[in-house]
Amino acid sequence: MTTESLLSIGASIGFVVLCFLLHRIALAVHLLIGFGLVVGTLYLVCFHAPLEEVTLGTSYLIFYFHFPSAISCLTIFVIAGVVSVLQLKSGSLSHDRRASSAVEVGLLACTITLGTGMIWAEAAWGQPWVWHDPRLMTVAIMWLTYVGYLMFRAAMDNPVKRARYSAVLGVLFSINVPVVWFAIRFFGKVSHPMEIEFAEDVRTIMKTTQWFGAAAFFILYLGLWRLRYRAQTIHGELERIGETFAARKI
Amino acid sequence: MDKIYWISLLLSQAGETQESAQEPDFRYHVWLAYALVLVLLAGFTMWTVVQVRGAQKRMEHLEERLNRTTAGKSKSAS
Repeated sequence: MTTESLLSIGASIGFVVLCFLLHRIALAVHLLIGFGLVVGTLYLVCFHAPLEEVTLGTSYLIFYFHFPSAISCLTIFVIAGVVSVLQLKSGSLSHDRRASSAVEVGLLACTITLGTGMIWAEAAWGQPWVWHDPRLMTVAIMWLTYVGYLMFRAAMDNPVKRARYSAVLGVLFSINVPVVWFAIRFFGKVSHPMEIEFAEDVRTIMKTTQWFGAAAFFILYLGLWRLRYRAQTIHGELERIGETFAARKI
Repeated sequence: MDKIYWISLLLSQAGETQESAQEPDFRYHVWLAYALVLVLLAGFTMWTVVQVRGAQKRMEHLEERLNRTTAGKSKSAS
């Protein structure tokens, strides 16, 4: 095993521990750290990563914001799927709120991925969208299914039924995540590359910036997930008070 | 060889150097993508914070109303 792989494994384990620890600090502090790290990514891109990519010119710099949102969006949708399974097992409404708030944040990350991807595609391929590209189409399907998930939730009044049906949808839709990940291997490469190849002399510095960005965005999305969960908990309380009013005929 | 950082290229005038004149100019796309990301993230955060504050205020108001009504009912019963 090379030193680079050992370092990657160590960094990944450290990052998972850090994410668990972040859940113990105040939400406002968590969000501030998240935004600070995103600004830090911008600083690294501006003053640390050298401009060595010549094939795509400066347009490849979009990658440093496109990739972190893409990887975060897939991870968050997997988390939503796992929490949905827990909801189906326990019937807990708090698990339902966790899953749906994860979907909301995942959808934000997915929108950012699609938006930055389209701008990059316009620069690199001369058109914002390629209809027969498997990666693009699977991500678009994923975006649409989760928009449908939120629309379905908004249309349901009964919280218990809403939680159960949403959990089923959450599990079903998360099956699309590996399809998105392996789309290029399954259906072949059309326009979107499997990964970006960096030149050997700048590989380490660019990879560091890339993964720092991924960690920064993921920490921010975790903070937003907590924020959305709080919003949904308060809305749940409001629903409960509304039911009490109705029961007492106030 | 000196390393080129993108910030100097992005801030420079289009067509100022021979190198940038030869390569296509994508600075507009990079700025647009970064602005889109930051606006969406900040907008989503602010929207949720405002939503949470509004819902908290509404909850406090409803709880107060509920307590007042319960107190009024028990007074009239006694």
